[in-house]
Amino acid sequence: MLTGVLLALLIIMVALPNPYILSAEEEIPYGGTFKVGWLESLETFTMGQEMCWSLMGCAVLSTVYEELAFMGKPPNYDIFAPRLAVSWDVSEDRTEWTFHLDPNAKFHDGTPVTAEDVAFTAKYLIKIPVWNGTDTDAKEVIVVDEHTVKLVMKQPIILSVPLWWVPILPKHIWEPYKDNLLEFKNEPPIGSGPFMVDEWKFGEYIKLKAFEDYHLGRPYIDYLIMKTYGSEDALVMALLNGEIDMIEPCALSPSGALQIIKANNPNVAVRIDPGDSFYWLELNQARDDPLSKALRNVEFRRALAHAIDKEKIAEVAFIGYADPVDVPVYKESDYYNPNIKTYEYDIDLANQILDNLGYKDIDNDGIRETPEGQDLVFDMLIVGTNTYHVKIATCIKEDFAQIGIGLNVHPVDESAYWEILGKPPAELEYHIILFYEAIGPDIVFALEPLVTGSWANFAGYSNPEYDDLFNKFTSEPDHDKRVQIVHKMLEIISEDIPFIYLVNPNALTAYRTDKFEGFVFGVGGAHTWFSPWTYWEIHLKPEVVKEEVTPSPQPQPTDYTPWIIAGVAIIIAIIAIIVAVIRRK
Amino acid sequence: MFKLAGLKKFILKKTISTLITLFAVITINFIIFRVMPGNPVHMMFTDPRVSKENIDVMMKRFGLDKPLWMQYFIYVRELFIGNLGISFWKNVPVIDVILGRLPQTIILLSFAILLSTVAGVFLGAYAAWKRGSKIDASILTVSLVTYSVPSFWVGILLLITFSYWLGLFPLGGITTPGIASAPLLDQIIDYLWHMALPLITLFFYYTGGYVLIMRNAMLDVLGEDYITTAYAKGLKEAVIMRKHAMRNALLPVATITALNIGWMIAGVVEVEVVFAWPGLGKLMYDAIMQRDYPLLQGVFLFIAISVILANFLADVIYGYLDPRVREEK
Repeated sequence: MLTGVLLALLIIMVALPNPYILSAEEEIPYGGTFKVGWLESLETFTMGQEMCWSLMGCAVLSTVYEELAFMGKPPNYDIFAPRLAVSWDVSEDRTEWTFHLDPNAKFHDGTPVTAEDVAFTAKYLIKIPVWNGTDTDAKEVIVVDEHTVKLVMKQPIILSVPLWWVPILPKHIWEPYKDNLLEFKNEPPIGSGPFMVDEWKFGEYIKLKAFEDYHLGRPYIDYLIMKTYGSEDALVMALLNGEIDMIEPCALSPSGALQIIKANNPNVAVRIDPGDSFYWLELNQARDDPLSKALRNVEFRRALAHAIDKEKIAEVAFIGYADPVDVPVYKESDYYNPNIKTYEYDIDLANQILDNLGYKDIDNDGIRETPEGQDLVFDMLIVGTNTYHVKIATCIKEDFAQIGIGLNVHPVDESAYWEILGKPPAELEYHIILFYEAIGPDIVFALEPLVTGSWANFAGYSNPEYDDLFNKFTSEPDHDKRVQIVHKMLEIISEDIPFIYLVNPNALTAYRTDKFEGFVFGVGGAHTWFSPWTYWEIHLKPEVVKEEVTPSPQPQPTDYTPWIIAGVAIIIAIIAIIVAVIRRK
Repeated sequence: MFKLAGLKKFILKKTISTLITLFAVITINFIIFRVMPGNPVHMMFTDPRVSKENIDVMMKRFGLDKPLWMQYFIYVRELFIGNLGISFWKNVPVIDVILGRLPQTIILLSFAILLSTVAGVFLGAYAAWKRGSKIDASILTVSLVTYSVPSFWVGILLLITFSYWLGLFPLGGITTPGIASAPLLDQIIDYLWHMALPLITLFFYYTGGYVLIMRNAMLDVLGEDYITTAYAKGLKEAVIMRKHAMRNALLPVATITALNIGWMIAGVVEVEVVFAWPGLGKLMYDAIMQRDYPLLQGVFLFIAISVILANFLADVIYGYLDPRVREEK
């Protein structure tokens, strides 16, 4: 009898899911709470700007919701990873995409994910401007069967997968609000992603819980907490004393990273990865004045490039946490062409080129003149509220002074900056524009600004050969052929040098090494909007599981009960005294 | 009867001038965000790849496609029904965001003002009473220091000492994730535990101010003839201090407290930011960072109205407490 009961108990114990058991196949343990410190916070779950564009919004989208497919795991960004769709077929012209959904996929409320949900999202969510883009804009959405949906896109999608960054919404919840999805508060958000929202306090934290029925297998960690802190100092302290396990890379500045490194904590590491943004100068050739005429001369532009000390910019503006660059492509990527023309920092050479071109300082005021007699003093536009812009501009001003070129730096507010840049280059009042763009691993963002008339071409640069190559690139499905095209384009960029690329600031991830492993590092660090893989794959270290099978205790506020009681007693005493005084009057 | 009629007239006058000020503030609040360089939509869509059609949709959604006078008319009309617009960034009504944050600021500040007023009044009165002594010098010096040092600096020092080195308090926020499922008492204790450091920071700052005001007021009062008379009557020192001196010296403190209530929302920005306390101050800071103009406009308006109403309240209290004020008018 007893043996029978024990045996039954044993069977039940084995059958029950144990959150801290080691998985037999991969030896990866389940359990634990991974806490990430942020500086930003969320205030809403509505599908507006904050959810779509803020990094924390993106973090919620990529954990609580699921897309059809997502950008691949670093470094294979362009091999899209299946998510809700297990596979997809593409028509020859790449406008018709048929997705086959995983029949096991469920929303957090238990409802299966069907083609109707995808169709609903593609029809209604895309109506909201923030979700509308070339790769989300479908002309027609056809539900083929319960788990197959066909999207006919308005334009061919060559380099990505349609809707790859769009969360698939549960139709049964959102349908009443289909005419204006922004009116739906979406609390709590119900998605089909690996985590479900467990608890949230807007402005403070969001606590996510592993979704047991997740069709791709539940995440290893039990909980993921994204907590907002008031300052970078508080974040650094929280990491060092173990209150959090990672600082979200976007929240850590070079000085914060330096602070952590100096603390010399053996359980904390700072990882340096290429950042997702580039800084560059655009040299406006389109204006009708002698200064723009000078900028139209490629030799003149080369002289400017030789005069800029990019190492100094990296050092001064980013305390060394930035890499000098010549083109907007990461050296680690196969798109990078190692044979491009580069411009070493060489003041003598720069001066010599300018002398040869006939730009001489005739009146001996330290500034060279154009052949027309105008001082070579350029107007440069920067964002004054961006400290990096200000520091970079200061460095460049110093560098240019050494080659007899003056620089009037015009710092403006960011909204004014964008308003100014809305004008065509010929009408811009500035000769040089300091520009910054979070390019990420999407090579299109890097190459497009140099196309004639492009959204970020403030130089008025136009090269038909480059434009032609760009068009070939965006319609070429073969990766190797695309690499060849990009190599050629980078050669043109470096020869023509219409833009002077300056630096690529590093992404800095500070994290604890004592509890978790499985961080996925890449461009932008351990976590960015296009790489949520760390959140999906992070897990406890096996040795941690063996040591402590219970989660580490939170500092218990109840330890301070006596303090609080004393505080309350003091308040009561003070009130009593006041009452006594008043009664005595 | 005459006294009451005088007070009524005084209040009426103050009400009219308050309404005029309010209207001016409402108008300035509208203009300020329109004369700023740059278009708010450019801030919303810093990414120039966003199509013109989409920008037009957003312009329409936020009413930015209408002429300026029409926008002003709509703005005033909507204000009367409590509609402050929709936040650009959060896409929810501004009034909801503000009301969601307000309780946190009110709780923190009520505690801070209550404690610091009581402490400031007693310490200030005592320092004045003991004028010239070592105690007076100490209280004065400490008050000057706490009143002058920036509150964010004090906040960071407290964080480093009590949260990082000693590990006694949390590094920010108002609740421990997961506490929502705990018993109510634990939740309250958790809340107070989180509030301790921001409260101490504000307490230091406000108390210093109150001590200085109370001490000065007390010194003025102590030189009055009726105090000498009280001594001559042979009253005890404690009675003179409590009944004759302190009560009269409290007049400026009452005014300052009323004014402080108005300023308190604006004044806690630094403390709320340092301690990640999600109140109105932190909201304003975030709105500035995100260039969320409707939200910023809403918060500014809210602060301006609080200051104006607090001024009105201070005027009325003063008019009530000190008849000379209303009779002068």
